[in-house]
Amino acid sequence: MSERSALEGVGDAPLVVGGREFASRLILGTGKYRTNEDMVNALRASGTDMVTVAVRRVDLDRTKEEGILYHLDPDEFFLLPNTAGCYTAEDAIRFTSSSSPTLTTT
Amino acid sequence: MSQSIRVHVNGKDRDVSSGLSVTGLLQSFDLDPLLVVVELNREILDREQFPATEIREGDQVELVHFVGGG
Repeated sequence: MSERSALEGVGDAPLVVGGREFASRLILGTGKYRTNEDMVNALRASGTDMVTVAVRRVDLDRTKEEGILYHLDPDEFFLLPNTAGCYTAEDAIRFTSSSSPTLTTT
Repeated sequence: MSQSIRVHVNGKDRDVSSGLSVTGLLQSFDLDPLLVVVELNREILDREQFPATEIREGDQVELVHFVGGG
C-alpha cells in the first residue's frame, strides 16, 4: 500500500477525544489578539472546533477584566483550559478539575 | 440586623454579610455565576450548589475564570 493511499481520507475523519468528535484537527490559542472581535472572527474563519484558554483568579479589585466567556460560546468552541496561571502541580490539578463543571454545563 | 463574617477570598481577607450564599457572594462582586468557577475550602462547587451553599466564617474561597491565552 502506498503512503498516499494510506493517508487518503484522513482529512475527513473526525478527531475523537474522550468520546467527543471534532470536525477540525486545528487547535488554536486565544491570546495576543488585537481585539476580542478579531479573535472570534479569526477562530470562526479557521474552522477550528477547539481553543485553549488560560485559567486565572478573578481580580476582585479590578473587575473590569473580562472573562473570555463573554466572547466565546462554549457551545461553539470546545474550551481547553491550560494551567499556565498555576504555580504548583496541586493548583494545576485542582484548576483543571475545576474546569469541567463550567465547560460542560449550559 | 446583619452581622458580617470574615472570609478569605482569592488570597485576601474580606468582610461579607453573614448568611450569604455563594450566589450572593458572586453578586456582591458583580460576577456572573455562569462565567466563574468557585472553589470553597479547596473543593470545586457545581454551579447548581451555589444558591444553597452558605458562606461561613473563615471559609477559603477561590474564584477563577477563563481568559485569553494558551
